[in-house]
Amino acid sequence: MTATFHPDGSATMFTEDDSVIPPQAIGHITRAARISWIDFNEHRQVWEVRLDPHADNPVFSDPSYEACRAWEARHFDSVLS
Amino acid sequence: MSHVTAIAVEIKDLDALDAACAELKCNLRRGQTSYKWFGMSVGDYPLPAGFTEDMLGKCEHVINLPGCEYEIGVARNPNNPKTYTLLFDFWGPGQRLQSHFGNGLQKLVQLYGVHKISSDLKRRGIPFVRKQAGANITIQAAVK
Repeated sequence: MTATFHPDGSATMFTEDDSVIPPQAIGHITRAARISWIDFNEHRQVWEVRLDPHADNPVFSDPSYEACRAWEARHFDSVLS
Repeated sequence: MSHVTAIAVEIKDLDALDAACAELKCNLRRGQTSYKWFGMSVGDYPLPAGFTEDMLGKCEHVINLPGCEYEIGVARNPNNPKTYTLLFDFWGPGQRLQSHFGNGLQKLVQLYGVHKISSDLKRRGIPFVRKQAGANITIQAAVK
């Protein structure tokens, strides 16, 4: 989870679905957008992470769903921090 | 699945506001029900949303900046009583409030948000780091 507080009194928060701190804890949501998709590829038998749902190739894949979630967290934390 | 959320910070937690005040070298005076200001609205600026002229000067708590004649009122938002609105007069002595806390007291609101999420994480025993990049402050926790 990463929360960035801007000098204009707004904040941007990166969370996953089951985030321990919901965004509503700090204020009211003015906009929310999904930024990643994890789907199972039956052919390859792996979970695949996409940042664009229409992309042909995933940015990360692994047989473990949790590994994909962990990759997502690391990726967005590094992008947003 | 991950989401990015844009949030307008709302003041709900007095302890977090207290911590933000401490960082900004001012005092939250709980239970003080009036704040110092010019004393009358001259009607040259719109009132805060939900407030009427007779509500100005009244509050539930006060933020006092040492050395500043005017104060900030912490009043229940009439449109959303779970949140507080910061009331202040930015003319005359109130200019000091603007220069210390930023335009519209936004620096105070920013630090309130930082302390609010920090205290929520601490309460859950979740480690986190605080980083400053330019005027932005980021809280990064090692959890989802």
